Amino acid sequence: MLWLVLLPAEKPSLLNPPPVTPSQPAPTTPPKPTAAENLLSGYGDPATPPIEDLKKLHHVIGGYFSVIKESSKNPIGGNADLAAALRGENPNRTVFLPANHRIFSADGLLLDRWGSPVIVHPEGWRQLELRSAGPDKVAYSGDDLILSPTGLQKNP
Amino acid sequence: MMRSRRQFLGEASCAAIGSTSILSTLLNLTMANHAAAAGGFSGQRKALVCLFLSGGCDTFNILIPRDSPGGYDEYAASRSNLAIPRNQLLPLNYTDSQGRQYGLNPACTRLAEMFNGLGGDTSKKRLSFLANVGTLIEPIPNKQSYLDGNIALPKALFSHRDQIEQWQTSVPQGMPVLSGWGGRAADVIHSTLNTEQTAGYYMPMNFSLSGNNAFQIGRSEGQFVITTGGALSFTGTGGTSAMQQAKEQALKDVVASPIEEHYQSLFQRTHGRITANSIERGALFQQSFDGSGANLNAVFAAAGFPNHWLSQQFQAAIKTIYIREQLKLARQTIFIEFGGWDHHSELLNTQRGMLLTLDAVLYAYQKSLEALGLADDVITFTASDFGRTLRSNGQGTDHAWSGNQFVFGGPVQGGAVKGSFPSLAIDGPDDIGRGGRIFPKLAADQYICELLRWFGVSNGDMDQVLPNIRNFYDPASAANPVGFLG
Repeated sequence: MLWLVLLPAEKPSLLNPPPVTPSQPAPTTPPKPTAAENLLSGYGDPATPPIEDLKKLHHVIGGYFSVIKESSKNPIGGNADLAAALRGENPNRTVFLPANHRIFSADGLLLDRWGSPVIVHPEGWRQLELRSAGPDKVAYSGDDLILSPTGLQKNP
Repeated sequence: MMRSRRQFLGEASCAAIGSTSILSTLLNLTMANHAAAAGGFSGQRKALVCLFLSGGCDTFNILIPRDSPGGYDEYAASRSNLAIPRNQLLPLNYTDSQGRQYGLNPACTRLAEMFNGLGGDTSKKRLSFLANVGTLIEPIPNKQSYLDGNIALPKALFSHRDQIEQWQTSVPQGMPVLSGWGGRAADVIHSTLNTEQTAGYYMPMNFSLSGNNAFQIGRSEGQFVITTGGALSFTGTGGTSAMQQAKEQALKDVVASPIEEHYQSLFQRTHGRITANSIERGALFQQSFDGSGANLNAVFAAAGFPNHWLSQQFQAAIKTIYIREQLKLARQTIFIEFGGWDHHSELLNTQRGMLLTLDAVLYAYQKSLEALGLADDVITFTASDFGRTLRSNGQGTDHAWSGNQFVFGGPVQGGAVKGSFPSLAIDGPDDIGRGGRIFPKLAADQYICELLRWFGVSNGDMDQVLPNIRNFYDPASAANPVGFLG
């Protein structure tokens, strides 16, 4: 078998080019989802309580901070920073979520199930409070959903 | 597992940070070096009072450029629905070297008076602002150098807890063992300047009215947590009922008992002795604190303090300064925290209400210090977690970095805006992104260093207190790092 590999490839002649065969689409395999994508499975599913969305995101954040140890680069001060960090703008250049993930808005913000940007409130390094504006889409109103950095639901 | 004495005290102390527990106070006291008896005191008595506006105060809606066209237009465009109308700004009688003029939030009428001159007297300018100040490890020459990522940055920028810690420690890299710049200042000056404390007398120089904090923890010196009623005690604040007194006496007897069988270890014996000492310190403090009341109540009433808990805090601060001779203290720091500035929503109305309170309290406080002849001995300064984004999120603003602070008192050369006021244009030369995050051009270290030079920390000791200072300023320099004290 080795000789087959070592045989010089036949050089195509410019005058007699090899016959062109219709190109066949290369078999594609869907990219393997990242761990963060798996954690977000079912995000926004109407069959699940809305707070579950924030819990899923909280798990993703936990994974992020278990991998990213550097605390002085790519600081996270809100939604835009966190979203960018999850897309790969972090000290390790690790992509946690692909840019085309459905959790992101067109301008790259993390969205809740009602389409409002999730409010990301950094209390400390690795300590992010998450808030959804809720079904009325008005932030800081009575129907907001809040998850503390410890993962417990809080009252608005 | 056996623990060393250092471990025991260290762990216990760390566990108490963030609470007002009496135990933590006692343990902080235990770590204190007793002041050396090296001659008598002579010289000016001084106090530094830290007002920490926790939550991240939106100070770009307090100190506002009012020159137009120019500064105000830039401000108004960036702040959109959060902008204070130009005709409502309280004018400050000051023009900087760039020709820029400033105004204050309309809720700050008395702060404007303290800036422009108390009672209209321009010889009594008591307050100055520091523009564009924040936590830094090294200077940031320009926006591009930040974006290039080659500048050492404070850890976990834009997060509350980390930035509070960094303002109070002045070590933005983070610290394996927490100590604050007020505590480290006490380490180097308590025994050398508070020389009236002789013959076993000991009173700490760092007082907190807002529980334990990082600011006042030193390597050897600690903080003494007090309340508006005076010293904390095991039975509450200043308890005088027969039951409380009996309880306290029983406690004293137990901890002072010489019978070693009561204790299983040297640590427990040490702790017992310290507890007894601390009860004595508390009693000593309380005696003087209570005795000052009659003299001061009339002054407080005349000064017009509003009915607010913050007034009680500042009145207690004045009392603590007023009794400094009885406490044998030539130097004191006092820590007061005023929280609730995290205005992600309803910035305008909520901040206005808080500023009205702050404005009235600080004015009455300064007025009281003036009436008592203490004004030249006290500098009060503000700090806050961080500044906020210029762009409105609809109702408020989000976490950012640099902001403006103010400093006041008799020694302050008032009536100026020090530092370099930034461009407030979104995506402008001073905005590092995400809707108007201004990077600091003045380091918290420079601000603090100037306060400490006045307070008595020698140039030679400055590195111990501010490990990063030489990145910004040579402590041996004749000129002050910022210039608000001349």
